[in-house]
Amino acid sequence: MQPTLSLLSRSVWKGPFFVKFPGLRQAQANNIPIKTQARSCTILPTFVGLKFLVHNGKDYVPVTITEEMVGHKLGEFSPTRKKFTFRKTKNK
Amino acid sequence: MPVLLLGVSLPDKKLVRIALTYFYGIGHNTAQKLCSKFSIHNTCRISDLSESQLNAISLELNNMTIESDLRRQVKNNILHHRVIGNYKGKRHAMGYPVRGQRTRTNAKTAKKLNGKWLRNFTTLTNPTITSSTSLSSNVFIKPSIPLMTHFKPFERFFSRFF
Repeated sequence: MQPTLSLLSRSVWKGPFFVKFPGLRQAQANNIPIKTQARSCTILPTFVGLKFLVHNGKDYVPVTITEEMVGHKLGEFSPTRKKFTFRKTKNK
Repeated sequence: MPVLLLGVSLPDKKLVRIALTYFYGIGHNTAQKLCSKFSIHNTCRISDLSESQLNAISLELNNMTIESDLRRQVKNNILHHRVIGNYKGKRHAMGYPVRGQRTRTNAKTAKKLNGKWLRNFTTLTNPTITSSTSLSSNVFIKPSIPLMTHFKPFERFFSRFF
């Protein structure tokens, strides 16, 4: 890993930043996606296998958490920008 | 006669501290440190080195992550982002700057370099939905590229916070 990642990162004593999801247990049991706007929430090991609907400012993007995503943020998987496509006429 | 060290030919006439930067992963700083470690003076050239000094240097280089090891490491780090399909991985695949730089102008380096590690790597059909099952079916990885087998996200996470 890059040295800056450990240097310019969050203090260890604070622990990872995460948001409490009230229906986490139920979602795990019933495979219900959790709708959330908490894009800055760190993906914890307990989230693996869960489905999230992560807000991107407009709509909710489905994200299924895999083992490799642990330690990343939820928002990383929900892109906020559309790719530009050229359209000839405006009213289409 | 150029000297061969670990598959890299170092020109005879070059200063040692310059010639060492021919290795991928060794810059001027590391080269200077290596030189001072083996007490090689600043104006010493490759041809002036004794056999034992060369051996000592090659032994030291063996233990460092340089050349193909480092290239593989870099590639794996980028592939990790691409496989999980996050923003960074997408920017890499598109060949754009990854860390929020502007793309209206400039971004020349990123356009030149980003995505070069992913050339043998087909893009996901729907990168927004990333699950392990859809990944394995959609992604084609050449067998020559080692996947992130050594990569243990759990361990890294736990070692950091718990």
